[in-house]
Amino acid sequence: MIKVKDKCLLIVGIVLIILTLVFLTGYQLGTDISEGDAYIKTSEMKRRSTIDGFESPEETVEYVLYQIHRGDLDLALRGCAIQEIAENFSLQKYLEIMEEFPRTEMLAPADNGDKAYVAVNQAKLVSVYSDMLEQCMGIFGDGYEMDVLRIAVDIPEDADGFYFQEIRDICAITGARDANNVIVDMLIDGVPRQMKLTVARYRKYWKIIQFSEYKRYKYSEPQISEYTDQVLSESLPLVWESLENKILPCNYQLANSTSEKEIEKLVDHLFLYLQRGEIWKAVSYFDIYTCPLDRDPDSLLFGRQSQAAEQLQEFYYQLLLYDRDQMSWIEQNIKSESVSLISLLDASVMIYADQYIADISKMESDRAECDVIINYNGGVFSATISLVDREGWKVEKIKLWADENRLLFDYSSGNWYVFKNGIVNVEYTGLIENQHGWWYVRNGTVDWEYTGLAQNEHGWWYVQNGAVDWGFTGLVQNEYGWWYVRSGTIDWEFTGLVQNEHGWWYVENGTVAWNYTGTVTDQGMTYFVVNGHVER
Amino acid sequence: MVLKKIEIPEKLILIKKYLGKTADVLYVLFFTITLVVSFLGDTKFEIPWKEWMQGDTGYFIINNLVFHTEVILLIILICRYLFSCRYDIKVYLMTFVACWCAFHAYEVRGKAVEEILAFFLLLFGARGFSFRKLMKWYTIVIEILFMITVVASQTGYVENLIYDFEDRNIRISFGFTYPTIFAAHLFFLFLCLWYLAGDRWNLILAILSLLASCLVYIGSEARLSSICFLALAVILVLRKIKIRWMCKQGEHYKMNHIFARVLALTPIVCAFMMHMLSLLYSSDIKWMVQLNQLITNRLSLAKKGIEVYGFHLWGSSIPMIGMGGSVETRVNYFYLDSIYIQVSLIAGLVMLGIVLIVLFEAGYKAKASQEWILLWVLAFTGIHCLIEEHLLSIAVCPFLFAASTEVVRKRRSCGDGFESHIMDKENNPET
Repeated sequence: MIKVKDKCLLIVGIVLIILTLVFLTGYQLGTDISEGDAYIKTSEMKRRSTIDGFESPEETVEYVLYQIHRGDLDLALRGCAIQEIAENFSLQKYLEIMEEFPRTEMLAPADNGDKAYVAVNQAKLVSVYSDMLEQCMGIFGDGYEMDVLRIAVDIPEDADGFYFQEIRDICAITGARDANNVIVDMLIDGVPRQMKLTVARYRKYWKIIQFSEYKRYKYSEPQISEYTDQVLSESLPLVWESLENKILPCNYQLANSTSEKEIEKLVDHLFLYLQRGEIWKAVSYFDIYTCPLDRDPDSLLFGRQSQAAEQLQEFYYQLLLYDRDQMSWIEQNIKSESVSLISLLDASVMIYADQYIADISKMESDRAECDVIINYNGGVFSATISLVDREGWKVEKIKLWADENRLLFDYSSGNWYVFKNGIVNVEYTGLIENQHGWWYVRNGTVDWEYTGLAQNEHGWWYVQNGAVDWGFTGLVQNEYGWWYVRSGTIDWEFTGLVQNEHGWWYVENGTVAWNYTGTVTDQGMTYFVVNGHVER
Repeated sequence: MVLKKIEIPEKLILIKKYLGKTADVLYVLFFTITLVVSFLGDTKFEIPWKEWMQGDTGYFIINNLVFHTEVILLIILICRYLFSCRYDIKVYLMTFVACWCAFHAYEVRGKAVEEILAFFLLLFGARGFSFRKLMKWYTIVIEILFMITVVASQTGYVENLIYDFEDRNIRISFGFTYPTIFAAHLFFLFLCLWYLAGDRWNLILAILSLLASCLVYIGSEARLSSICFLALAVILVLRKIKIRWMCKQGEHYKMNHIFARVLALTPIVCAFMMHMLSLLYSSDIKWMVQLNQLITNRLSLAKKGIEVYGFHLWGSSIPMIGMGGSVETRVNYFYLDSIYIQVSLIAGLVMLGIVLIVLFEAGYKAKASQEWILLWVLAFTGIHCLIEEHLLSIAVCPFLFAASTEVVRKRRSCGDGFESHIMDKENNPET
C-alpha cells in the first residue's frame, strides 16, 4: 500500500492512469455512437414480453395459431425457434447425418459460436418463418371462420428405434432437447383441415421449428391438408381468450438502414464489420429499405434481409473455403471431414484478411461498381461490390468472385494481377484491358519487360514495356514475320514502303512481302524491290 | 460493559506462525514452479508433458501443479494473508478487488488471460517478502535456466531456430521460441543483475551491455533490445562518473526529484503513448508510416486490432498468430506485440487499469525508498514493453513484484548512498 510521501507524483500518476482509461473508454463510446445501431425495433417488436415460453408443445402451437388467425406476424414469429436454432444449429451434425454440404442453402454453422453465423442464421430463419406464417395467414387468417378442434402431439403407437433415432438427429442438428410432431385438426369456414408441425424444446420451453412434420424438412409450404379424422366431434373449439395477454419475448431482428456519402468509407466499414462478425451492421448497408420504415415488416422485407445475409455468408464461405483441392477432398468425405470443414469456416480468422479498394470500375449517376482486393492466407482475392445511390451509397450486391478476368492492382505486393473467380489467374497470358489501358500479362501478372506484338479478340497490338502503345507506327517483328503497325495495331490494309533501322521494305497487306521482287511506285518515285527489300 | 482482554494461547500463536511459514515455503515453491514452467514455455525444450499426464494421478499432478496453478496460488495467497503478522484491511480489500477482477477476466476470456491471472496471484501473494530476496532467488533460477538453454541450443540438445527473412539478417533464437524472446530474456537478466549488484559493477556491466547489444543485434537482430542495451551501457557509465564525483565531494548520490518522478511515471506514459499512437495511426501521415515500418507494423496491427475488436471492460477473444515457435512461413500473421495494447484489447480496460496501478505503485515505492536503480529498471521495462509483451511474463520481467513486496533501502558509506538490502529479522516484521 502506498504511503504518501510524494503527493505530486501520486496525483500526476493517478491523473495519467485515469486519463488513459477515460481516453480509451471515450474512444470506444464515440466509435459505437458514430457507427449507430445495428438494428431497429418497430413498435410491434418493442412489445414487452409477459411470459418466457410455453412448457408444452400444444400450448406453443395454440399460441402461434391464435396469432396467425389474428394476423399478428410479430407475435407469431415469437413462437418460432428463430433465436434458438440460430444459436444452436450444428452444421457438423448436419454433415454427419445428412452427408451433404448444401453450402449457403443451409444455415451457417453455430458450432464455433461465431456471432457472424448466428446473425446470418437469424436473418435467414426469420425470413423462412415469416414466409410460412404469411402462407398460413393466407389459408386461415383473419376473415376466415376458424375453429381449432384438436392439438395433439403425434407419437407413433409403435414407435421404434428408427423413430427415436430421427428425433435424436433432429435434436443434434438443431440443438434442441426434444422434438415432436404436432397435429392440429381444425375447421376453416366449416371445412375440416389438418395441419402438421414440428416443435422442439429448448431449455424448458417449446418452439415451432417447422410448419410440416419433421420428415418433410424441405417443404417450402406449410403442411395443411383438407382431410381430417373423424375424432373432431369429440373435441372442442379451443378458447382463445386466455392467450390474449400472453406475449413471448422478441426473438428476431430487423437490420437498420444506413448509407455512406463516400464509396470508400462504405467499403471500409463493410469489411470492418465482416471482420468483426457484425453481420447486422453489414446488412444495414444493403439496399433493403429506406429509412424511416414506412410499413410493418413482412416476409418480403425479411426475405431481402435474408438475401443480404446470405450474400455475406457466401462471401465468408468463398473466402474461407477457397482451396478447391481441399474442398474437393472434404466434399468427397463429408462425414469424416465435417470437423475440418467446421474449423475452416471459423469466421474469426477474418482478422488475418486485409482489404483495399482496387478500382471503382463503373460510375453512373446512381450506380457504381467497386473492385476490392482482399489478401488472405497468402492468397490475393478480388470482390466486386455493386452499389446504388439512395441519398447515400448502399450495397446492392457483393460478390467475391468475378467470373471474367479482371486486371487489378495489389497494393501489398505492388503488382497488377489478373483475377478470375476471385483468385490470381496464373494461367492467363495475353492482353487485358482495364480503365487505364491495355496491358500484356504473362502468367497472371503484368509483364513490364515485354515489348512486341500480342493478340486478343480484336486483333494484334503492339506492346511496349507491358502496355499497348497506341502512338506507335512502324515495322515490328514477331515469330511469324514482320508486320506493319499503325497506331498500335497491325494495319492489314496497308500496302506500300516502310522504313526501319535496316532500310526500306515493301509491305503488302500489313506484312513484309518477302517473296516480292519487282518495282514499286511510291509517292511518284519508282523503287526496285528484291525479296521485299528496297534496293537503292 | 467491561471489555475483557482476550489472551491468545501461546500454542495458537505458534500454530499460526508455523502455518504462515508453511505458506511462505509453498509460495516460494510455486513461485519457482511457475517461473520454470513459464521459462520453458519460451524455449524449444520439448518436455513430454502429455506422456507424463497419462493416468489419472499423472494428469492431476501435472495439470494442477504445472499448468493450472491458479487455485493453489489463490489458496496460498489467502493463507499468507491470513497468517500474516501484519493485517492491513486496505491492502486486503485492494488485493481482493484486483484478484476478483483477474478471476472474472479469466472467466470471460479463458486461456487468453490465464497467464495474467497466475502472474497477479503470484504478485499479490508475494506481499511481505523482501523484493531483493525474491529477486536474488529469481535471478539465480533464471540465470541457470538461461545458460542451460543457450548451451543446449548450441550443442544441439534443443532446436536452435534460425530465421532468414527477406530484407533482414539471419536471426538466431538460441534455443528460445523467437530471437526477440532470447534478447528480452537477456536484457531483463541484465537489469536483474544491475539491480542486485548496485552500482559497484557499473563499468563491467556497461562493457557486458555493449557486448550484449552487439550480440542481440548481430545474432538475433532484436533492434529494441539492442538499443536498450546500448542505453543501459550509457546510463551505467554516466552513473559511475556521477557517483565517483559525488563521492569525491563527500556527498551521497541522490537523484533529482523531478527526474525521479519522470522515471517513476515512464511506464504509464509509455502505455498512454502506445495507445495514442496506435489510435491516431494513419497511412496518410508520412512520419507515422515510417515509424510503423521501423517497429515492424506494430502500429498498424494495433490500429487494426482496435478497429476490429475495440476496447471493452473485459476484453475480446483475439486469435493471434505470431512468428514464434517455428521457422515456417506464416501466411496469416496478426500479433499484438505491445503488452499495453494486448492487455487493453484482450484482457480489457479493467485489467489495464490494474496493471497501470501496479506499475505506478512499483515506481512510486522505488522512488519513495530511493531505489534509484529500480526506478531506472522500471523505466526500461516500461519502454521495452512499448513494443514487446514481457511485462506480465514472470519468466522475463520480475520487476512488478516491487509493487507488492517490501522495497527498503540501506545507507552505505559513500557512492550511491543507499542500497536496498534483504529484509533481515530485525527489519522485517514478517519474519
